[in-house]
Amino acid sequence: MSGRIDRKDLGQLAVMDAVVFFAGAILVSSVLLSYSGEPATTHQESADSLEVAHLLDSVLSSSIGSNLTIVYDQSIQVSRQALVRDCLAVEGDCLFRGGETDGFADLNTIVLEMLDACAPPFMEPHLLFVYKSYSEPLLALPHLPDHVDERFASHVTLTLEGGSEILVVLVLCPSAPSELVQV
Amino acid sequence: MAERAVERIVQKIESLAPGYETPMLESIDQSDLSHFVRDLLDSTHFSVNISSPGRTDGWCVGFNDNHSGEVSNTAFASSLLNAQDFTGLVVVLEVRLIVWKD
Repeated sequence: MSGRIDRKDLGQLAVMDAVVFFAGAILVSSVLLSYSGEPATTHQESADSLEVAHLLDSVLSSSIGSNLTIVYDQSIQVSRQALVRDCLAVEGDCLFRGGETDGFADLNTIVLEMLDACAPPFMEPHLLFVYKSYSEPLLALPHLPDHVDERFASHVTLTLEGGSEILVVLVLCPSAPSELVQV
Repeated sequence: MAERAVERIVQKIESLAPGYETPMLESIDQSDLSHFVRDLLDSTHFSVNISSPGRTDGWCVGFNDNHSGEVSNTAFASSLLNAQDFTGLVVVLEVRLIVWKD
């Protein structure tokens, strides 16, 4: 085997260099294009999602504001200082065990009013309880409309007494046209 | 600009509580927020309102830079945070900021 490189080999090396260079250039260009071509709506959507997450966290971390009674196995007196998060965990526990949530009606009304007051204008909040192994929500407050073009959602995980987890999902949908007219 | 400013105001309010505790309404009342916002926004005119959404009997703080005249280039931003009163009741507060130029 000889260490000499003839003109033919040099030509092949030049072609290979060119191929590698163009492949690298195409790769770098495609990566740059994928970032620069990102539509502005993506940023807006992530900002909106962040806003929904902030809204959900703020409401869950606040007090319910009124003394009320929850009926679950037995009547439970809940003070106005109790946190929404803790009350919803009790309701989630009830749902997880397959119970009815009629006894939580007052709590649900308070939470929905808080979400409605804090939500952006012309957006309607919906609160869902979802168990991880089920695709359908265990409870939706109020019923989530099927055909909505635009909606934003965020969720938190609540740990129940037995260690199980349930998701509380906040979905914001544009208000129905009839509601907009009333405004 | 308005969004960044309102986030700075929220951070300022949250810094009124030690550690990760929820700030007290009384601390917000006694803080020098208007001077903070004036320094933050420099020559930009502003109006700030901090209140608890949906509570008609709720606590509220508002201030502005006392500007009167023509308004242009307005921008609005708002943000939510939690605060608690002396009874231990935790409420949602909304900080609303409007900024404008002459």
